[in-house]
Amino acid sequence: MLPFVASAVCVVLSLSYSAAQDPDQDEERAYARFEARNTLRENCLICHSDGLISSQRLTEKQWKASVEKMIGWGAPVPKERVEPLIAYLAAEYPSTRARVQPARETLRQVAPVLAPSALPATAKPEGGAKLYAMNCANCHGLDAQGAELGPNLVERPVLLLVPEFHQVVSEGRNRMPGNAAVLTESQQQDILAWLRTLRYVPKRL
Amino acid sequence: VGSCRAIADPSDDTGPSELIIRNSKPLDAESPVSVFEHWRTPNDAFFVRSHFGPPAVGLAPWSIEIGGKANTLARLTLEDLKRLPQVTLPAVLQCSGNGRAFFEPKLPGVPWEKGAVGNAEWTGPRLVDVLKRAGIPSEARHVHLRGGDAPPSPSTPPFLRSIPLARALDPHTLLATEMNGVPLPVVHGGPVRLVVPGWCGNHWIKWLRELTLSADEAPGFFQQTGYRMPKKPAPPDALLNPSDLVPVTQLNVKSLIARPLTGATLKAGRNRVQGVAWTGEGRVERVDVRVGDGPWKHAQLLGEHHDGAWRQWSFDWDSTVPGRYTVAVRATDSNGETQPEKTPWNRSGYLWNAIDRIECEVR
Repeated sequence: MLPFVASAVCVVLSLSYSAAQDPDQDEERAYARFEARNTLRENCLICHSDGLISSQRLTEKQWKASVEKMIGWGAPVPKERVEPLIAYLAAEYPSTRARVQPARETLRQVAPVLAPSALPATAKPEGGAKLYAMNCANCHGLDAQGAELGPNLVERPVLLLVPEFHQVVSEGRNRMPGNAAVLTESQQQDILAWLRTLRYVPKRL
Repeated sequence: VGSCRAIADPSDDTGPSELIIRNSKPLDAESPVSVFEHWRTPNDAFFVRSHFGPPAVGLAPWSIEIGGKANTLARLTLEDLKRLPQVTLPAVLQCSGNGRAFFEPKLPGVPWEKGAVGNAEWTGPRLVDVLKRAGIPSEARHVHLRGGDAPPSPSTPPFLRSIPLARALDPHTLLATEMNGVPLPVVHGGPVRLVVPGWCGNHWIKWLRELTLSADEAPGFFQQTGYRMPKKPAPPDALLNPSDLVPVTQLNVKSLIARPLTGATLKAGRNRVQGVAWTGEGRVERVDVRVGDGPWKHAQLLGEHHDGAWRQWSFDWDSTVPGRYTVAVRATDSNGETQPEKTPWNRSGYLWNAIDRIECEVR
C-alpha cells in the first residue's frame, strides 16, 4: 500500500508542478483530491460501483444530502473525511457537467448465472462458527449481518463461489486486510460452511 | 397486418443484446430502445434494477415466510406455489425512475433514459390464491412484501414494501416463477417475484422472502419515505409535508419509438416508424406521430389489447424529401390522458412520460 501511495503522490505532484501558478497550493489541492478519492474507494465502493457515483450530476447540496443518507445507512466514512468527500464529489461530478456515455455489455457478462460450488465434505460448520467469531465477527458482526466496518455476509452471492470466497478472505478487499497468514484454506472452508447455513433476518425497518 | 401481432418476436438464436450499464454493483442495466422493435422483451435484453443485489440462490430450498399472527400457514415452498393454478399473462414492467435523466434540475438516482422498461410473459400462481391458502384475517388491509436482497449494513433499511389488499386480491397480481416461458432468472428476481401489471416496478418485489397481512402499510424507509411523489407538482425548493406525498403506484400513458433510431439514415421513400405504447390502468386508445412541425397523424395499433401489457404501433412515413427530421410520438389512453410535452419535475424523478422524439436523416 505505502509504495503505491508514494508513487501516486509523485505523479500527482509532477503533473501539478508543470502547470502551477502557486506550487504549494496546487500540491495541497492534489493531495486533498487524492485523499478524497481514497475515502470514496474505501467507504462507498464497498456497496456501489464507481460508475453509479461518477454518473451522478448533482449540486453540492444534493451531494451533501446523498452522502449523509448513506452514512445514516451505515457507510463507515470517518467523521473528519465527510466534508472533504462532499467537496470532492461536488467538484468532480457537478450538475453542470455533461454526462458520459455508459459502457455496454451483455447481461451474461455482467450477471453470470451462479450455482453453488461444492465444499469438501471435511468442511465443518461448527468449527467455522468458532473461527468466524474469533477472526471475522469484529468487523462483520457476530451474526455476520454486518457491523460498523464490514458489510453483511449472510446470503451474499460470494458464498456460492468457493474460489472467490478464498480470494477475498486471503487477499482482503477495500478496508478488509488479507487473512492468508491467519486462516488456512481448510479453516476458511469451515467458515464458509457455517456462513452457508445462515439466513438473513432484518433488524431495522 | 391489422389484428395480429405484426412484428415478429425475436427468435432465441439472435444472440444476447448489449445492455447499457448504469451501475455494475449492484446491477442497474438499461435496454437499448432497438429491443422494443419486438412485442416481447427477451430475458437477456430486459432491464435490471437492483437495490442490494441478488441473494445467494441455491444454498437452501427457497421458501417464503408468511408473517403475521392470524395466518394458518407459516411458510410456502416453491412446490406449494407450483401446486396452485398457474396463470400466464403479458405485462409491462417499468422502473418508476425510467426517464429520470431527462428531468431538469437533475436529481440523485440511476440516470435512466428510455429503456428501464420491458414487456414479458409472466407465469405463476395468483397472489390471491396464495393469500387464501395462508388465511386472510378480517382486519387485513395491506400485504407487506420483503425481498431477499439483504442490505449491506444493519443500519440500512431492508427492501420492505406493501400493496393495498385490493390490489393483492386482483386476479392479475401474480407470484411469478417463470418469465417468457423459462424459470425466472435470478437476475430478474428468481426464483419468485411479484407481478403487479399496471403498477411501477417498485411493487414487483424480487426474490420474495416474506409476505405479511396487516392492517397498515409497511413501515420503514422504502414504503414510508421512498417511492413517494407530491400529489400536485411542486418546485425543487418547495417544503413538502409527508401528507403532501402519495406512493407512486400506477404507470402513466407512454410510448417509445423503437425504429428508426436517433442518428439513423433512411432511404427517401416510404419508411416505417414503429414502437410500443402502454398505460397503467385502462388501455391505449390512440397513438399519433408527427414529423417536424407537421400535423399529428394516427399510427396503426397492432395486435390485441391485454390489460397491463404494451401494444405495438406502426406508421408509414412518406419521407420523399431528403433532409434532417425530428419524429415525435404520443399516446392517448382510455382515461383521456395524453403524453405531455414535458413531465412536471418531481423530487425523485419518477414517471417521466413526455412525448418521445428521435432525429434521423433521409437521403
